[in-house]
Amino acid sequence: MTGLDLDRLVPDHVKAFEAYVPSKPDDELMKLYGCSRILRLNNNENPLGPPSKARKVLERFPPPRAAVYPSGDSFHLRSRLAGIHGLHPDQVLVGNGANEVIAFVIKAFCREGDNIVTADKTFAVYEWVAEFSGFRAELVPLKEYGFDDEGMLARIDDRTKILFVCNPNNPTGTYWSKARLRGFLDRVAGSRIVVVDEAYFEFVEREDYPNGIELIREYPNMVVFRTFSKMFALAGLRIGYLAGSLDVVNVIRRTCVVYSVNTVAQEAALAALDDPAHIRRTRDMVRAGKEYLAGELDRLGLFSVCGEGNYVMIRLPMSDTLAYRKLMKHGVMIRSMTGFRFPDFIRVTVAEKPALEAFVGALEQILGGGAAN
Amino acid sequence: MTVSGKTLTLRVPLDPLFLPAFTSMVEHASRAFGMGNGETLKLVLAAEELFTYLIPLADPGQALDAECSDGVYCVRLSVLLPVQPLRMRAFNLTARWSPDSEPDLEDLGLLLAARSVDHLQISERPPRGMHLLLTKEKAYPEEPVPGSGPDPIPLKSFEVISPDPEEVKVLASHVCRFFPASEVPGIFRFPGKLVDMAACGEYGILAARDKGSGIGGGMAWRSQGSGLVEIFGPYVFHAAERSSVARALLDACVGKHGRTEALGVICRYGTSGVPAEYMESLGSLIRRKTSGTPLPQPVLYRQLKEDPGRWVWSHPRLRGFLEAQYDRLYLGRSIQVVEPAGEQRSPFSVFSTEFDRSHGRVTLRPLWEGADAAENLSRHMDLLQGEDVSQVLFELDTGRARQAELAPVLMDGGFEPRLVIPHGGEGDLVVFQYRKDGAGQ
Repeated sequence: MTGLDLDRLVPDHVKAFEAYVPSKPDDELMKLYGCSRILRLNNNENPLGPPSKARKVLERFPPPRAAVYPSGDSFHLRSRLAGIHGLHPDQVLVGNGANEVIAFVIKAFCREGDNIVTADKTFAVYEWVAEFSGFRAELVPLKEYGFDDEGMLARIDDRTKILFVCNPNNPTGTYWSKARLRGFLDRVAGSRIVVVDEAYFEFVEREDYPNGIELIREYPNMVVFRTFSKMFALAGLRIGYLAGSLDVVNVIRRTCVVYSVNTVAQEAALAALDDPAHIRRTRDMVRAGKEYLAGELDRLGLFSVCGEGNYVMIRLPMSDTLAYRKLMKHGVMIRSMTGFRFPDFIRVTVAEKPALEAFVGALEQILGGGAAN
Repeated sequence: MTVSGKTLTLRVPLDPLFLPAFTSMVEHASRAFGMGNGETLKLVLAAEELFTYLIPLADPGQALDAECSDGVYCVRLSVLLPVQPLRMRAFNLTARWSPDSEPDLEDLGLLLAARSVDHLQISERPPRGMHLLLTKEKAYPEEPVPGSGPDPIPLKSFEVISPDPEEVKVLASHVCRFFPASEVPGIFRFPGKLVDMAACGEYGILAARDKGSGIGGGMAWRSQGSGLVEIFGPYVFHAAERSSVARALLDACVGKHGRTEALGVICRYGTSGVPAEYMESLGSLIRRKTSGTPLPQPVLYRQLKEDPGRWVWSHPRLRGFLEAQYDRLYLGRSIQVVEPAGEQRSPFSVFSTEFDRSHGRVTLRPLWEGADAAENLSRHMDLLQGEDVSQVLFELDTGRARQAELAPVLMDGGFEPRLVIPHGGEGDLVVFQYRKDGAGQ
């Protein structure tokens, strides 16, 4: 037997990288924190569950079909999405969640010494995937909780390949208007790939909020991400997609993992697209939930950042990670924001009122001090 | 100054004929890396003793892999040893030898090697053997006490910056001047060393600077293993701006570590500058004033990640303490009780000993668990009685099942558990303090 010399085998950029530790399953967490239920308000999931037609797909999926490989490139789903957005099916790539399509794009365009530009306080996966792959992530500070277009443009250098814009931004909920996005794309002038992550697109009701996919014809260097994890409540099935110009998507396809999206996910996603009532119901719930939270947070004297999307960021008079542990003892799971570079903030998924009432009740107790907090 | 990645590597047969080649590599590399004569000779002595010790244990033709690297403020000698097990006992601070005892005489070489360097880390590298990392630090001039230079001017407005080397020296000097020694880590008394250690990434430093007024405060940090960062400060020189400047420094520091592998930050020095509610109290250690009066030394903590919960190993006698701490800190932990069941043990234990002479503190840690732990602990305490030490700590890692068995040895040996540092090792660290230092009073 010979020795396993990991020191020699592992590249330096991987040695420096942090392994992501996902939260434990609910049964384990309940044992560890001594609570009788876990209310998950940490991942911006949709508590209403999948649209009714998607539910039927899940309920009626014939077990023997599990023995057969899925469509390797999500053929029917791509065709349907292309039809909805007025694109050619080959302009759409489906992946195992949006995280996978982020990796496709970075792999397609970056080589050693290249960099990406994004914000410092946004969805961490752009930065993680870039650095994990050995590329530098240039991070531009947010301005008034929003992406700073001028700052990002100023940060571009000869080795910049991709600019990532999260629109609306997770976790602040700020967004670029159509005019601002156009202005940014005009200034980039096709010299770099611009990724616009629209994971929370379906939650936004603002008139000036842009539909990035509609701009692809005009800006062939733009790639738009969408997901079925948030509004369509299929997070457990892991499915998302990107859309772009034919030339750009043809390049990305070369790095794409085929057969990574399972049959159930493809069919449930296809069915989810046919349920506009689900979007209305979810938007109503989010609107009501934000209104309720705004009142309660005001009553508690807590500052919050509430923009678009189904989440609210709250600043606490204590460490966010301590708040996480204290709330877990009450069976409420939130997202601590230190990892998003917002120390002392937590992010809460906007859910139905009973869940939000439980959250507010627990929050009030942990802020109240005393032995029982 | 640029950070150097200079490294010399050598594969050398474990044969007396090649001893000069090995020591010559260490000597020439050390001198080329800028280490002074005295320190170089000590590292060469350590290398020579180590090599000589290994020769009779090696198979014919067996080689040793050595790497000598420039750590800017130090020289590191990394040695992959093709023998197992080592006579680990020799790496204890208290290892004794007798000229009448042949095995002990053999161990003397390792003992000399261990004592000739500033830091010694030992780890297993199965299946090939052991890895030893010997670190010898360069000599630096000490900041006069109290520090010198003009008084800092109050800040009008400020920005948090990564200071340049001259600003680091100003910061260190002001910190030594305006804060009691008990609040300041010893490294601040060696500004040149702090600059070099910052340049090679061993320390991180932030300062609050106003372009008109200069440096109004700052803080430093250093990784303690992969999961923990120790912060020093924040130190703010004018009371009126203490809260806002400290908060800005801490936010910047926490922000820098939020997406790294660090799980938490700990603060033992400069705790008075930490705004209320910013960090949690883990408890306190006891230190003695020069008059002998015991004083609590608070230990603060802030977690950087959502605590995932975990299993920890504990001896039954430590369980009650751990339960109380985990309950107080809202940590989800499942305590697994460990008790010996008659299985074979290594006859010898090894403890590493870290001296912090500027604070009269010694921290012991188990490197190797063995049947003689109680006697070994007792030998260490006897030896430390003769040193100028006012605080003796022992750290147990709840992520290592075998270490749990040391809890009763420590408790019977005069130590008491004081606090738990979440994720301070492979698991949580339990910090014991020797009661005669005043712990428990």
